[in-house]
Amino acid sequence: MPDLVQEQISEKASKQDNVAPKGHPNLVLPNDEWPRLAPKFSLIASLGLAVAMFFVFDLALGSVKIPIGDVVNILWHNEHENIAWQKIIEYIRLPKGFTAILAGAALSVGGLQMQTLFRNPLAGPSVLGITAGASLGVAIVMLASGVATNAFAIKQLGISGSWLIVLASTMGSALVLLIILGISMQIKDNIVLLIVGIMVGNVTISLISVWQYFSSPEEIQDYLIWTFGSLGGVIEDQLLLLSIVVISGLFLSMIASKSLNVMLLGENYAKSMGLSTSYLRITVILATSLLAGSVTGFCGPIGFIGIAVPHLTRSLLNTSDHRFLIPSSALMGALLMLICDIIAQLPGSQTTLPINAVTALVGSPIVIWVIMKNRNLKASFS
Amino acid sequence: MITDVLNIKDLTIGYRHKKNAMLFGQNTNGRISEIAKDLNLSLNRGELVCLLGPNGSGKSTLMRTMSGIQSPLSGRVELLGKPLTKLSAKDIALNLSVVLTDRISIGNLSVYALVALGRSPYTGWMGKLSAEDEKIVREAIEITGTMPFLNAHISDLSDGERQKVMIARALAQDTPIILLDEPTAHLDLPNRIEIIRLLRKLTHEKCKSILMSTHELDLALQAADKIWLMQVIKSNEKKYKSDLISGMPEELILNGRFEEAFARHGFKFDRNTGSFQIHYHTKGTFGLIGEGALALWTKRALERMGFKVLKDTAILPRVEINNDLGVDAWRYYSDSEQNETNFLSITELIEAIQANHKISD
Repeated sequence: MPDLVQEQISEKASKQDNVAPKGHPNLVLPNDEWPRLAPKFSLIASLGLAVAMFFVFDLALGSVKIPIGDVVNILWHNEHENIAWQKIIEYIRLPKGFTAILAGAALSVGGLQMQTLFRNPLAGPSVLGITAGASLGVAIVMLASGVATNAFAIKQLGISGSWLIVLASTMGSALVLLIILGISMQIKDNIVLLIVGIMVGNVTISLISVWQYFSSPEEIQDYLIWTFGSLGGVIEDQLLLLSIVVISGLFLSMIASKSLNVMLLGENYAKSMGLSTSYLRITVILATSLLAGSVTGFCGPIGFIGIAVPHLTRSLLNTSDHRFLIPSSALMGALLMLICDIIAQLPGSQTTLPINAVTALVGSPIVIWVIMKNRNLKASFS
Repeated sequence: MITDVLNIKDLTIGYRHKKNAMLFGQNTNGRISEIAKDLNLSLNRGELVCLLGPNGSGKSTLMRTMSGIQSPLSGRVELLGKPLTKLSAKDIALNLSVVLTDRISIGNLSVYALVALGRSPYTGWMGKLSAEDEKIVREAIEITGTMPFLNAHISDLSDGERQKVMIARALAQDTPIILLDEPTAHLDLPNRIEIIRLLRKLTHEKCKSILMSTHELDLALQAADKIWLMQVIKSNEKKYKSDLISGMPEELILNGRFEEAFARHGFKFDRNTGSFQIHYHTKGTFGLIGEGALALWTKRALERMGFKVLKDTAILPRVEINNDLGVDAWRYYSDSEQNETNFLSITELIEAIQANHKISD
């Protein structure tokens, strides 16, 4: 109907010759009324403050209750008249608190990147089989001890603090990572890669099942205890190693933040803006396996944090800018992990719950509440 | 100053199948499917070009090849005098931006943040916007009229609004060339017109070179400086699939190439009205005497009923239009010069004609 179209166009043209066209291009906003990309700094600052606060709470609470004033005193002066308290803080609770912060930050940032790269709200650091790979490594060490002659030696090292376990789990996750990286060179589609990653994870888990089937109940029990997760097994130089790995992983993630932002528009748009998507994919997979692989090795497979924290952070900051989401997710993850650790110790009692159970038990209702309240999970991934 | 910003030289587009790949049950071992061959085209500064063609004629393949997402089978695409294959992804991004049909699936992204992402080829490794970057982003938002939903999330926008935002993002990328893949698809008529007007404005005011693929033939004929018409060749004589003709729309219509192109598919393009004939003449001829809008729309109504309308002919049956008395009036001669009836509305006229022809059927 060209005539009708012609008439509409000319009618519009004649109407708009003197009047501002629809959308008011002539209306100019004053400088300070334009939106800013950065979220409120106070939000991020208060997150940081909350982490510091709960860190002190975490140090104070436990089977032996130490008054907060004394905790601050011990941290400040590095000495206290109560030697027992000082030793407890210095050798047990401080490493555990730091581990909680590192683990929470690492898993959250890993999950955030996976969700953006795969454009999937259910993605987490575990989707590419990185956690499963770590578990396989641990299972091999623990379950093989039944046939190995040095079974006693391994048991002597303790369950979660052992270097051997850490080494095995890191090797396991690195192996799975290498397989995934190799496949990702072949597959250009991120969604296909996601499915392949899940499949590789499934294969790994099946291998563990087969191994468990042929193992004695005692060995399975050791392995099961490791899968419950623990923040308490990381001591001294292990903590230093974990910090170095986690901080380099976080640094890699920050470098990728601009590319992750561009990736929000999808691969085709990202390429049209000059982004090398394969480079980004390798950076993100590498960063995530450093973050998730190391934490899983030291603390066991801690679930839930990696999926939930990115969603919490997005709704809190109401942004999708990774330059702010990455540090905020790290803080939010650390905070949630400290809270979970405090709950796991059941303050006032001598019992400790497995951290893996607590993270899901505490976190899931929080996430459901946030999503119901804001309803922007769909907005994030519609 | 270079006038042709993008040049296509002896370009053959298509797909190279992987070894041992199967396509539709046939082994396409290393086979090459050519879609269009030996294309020689250029996109000039400040020019709006519409790429027309039926589904599957290779419009998207051509645009993908032009934007460097896909490599050509042979020949080359030159961007400001340099072959696309010799340029880095960033250099291409500085000169050519795209608006795709891909839906943005992640929604926790405000319109402002999305448009600002267009600056990413210019920003440093942390993507911080300079004052200059911000100025360009604001200009892009102002010119596209996306200001009213500046803070809205992209998932809350209508299709038309979303399309304008994506155009704003391409503008923020500040490239001399913009390629748009079906920017008017799924939009209603006012939105389609608004988008075309916006693109027209960008070529005039900002001297952008714009190539858009579209199915909106009438809009393209009116707004484009040049038409690239792709069509599927039916015969199997040639190995490649599509053919491309290009030229000014009026030129293509007047020299009959447009008509010819559509005639091959059994469509009649009427160069007098600039529209396609969609009705078949099943009921014989009808005379119509009169001028102006009244005559035009009466003719349309008669054609819809299946008549071949001959204007200004004293044949029977016939309608004469006059508004001598200041009111629109139709005089209908059904079977003889004496048997005349007068009508004051077109509905009554058409109903009377329908009644007459039902009886005679």
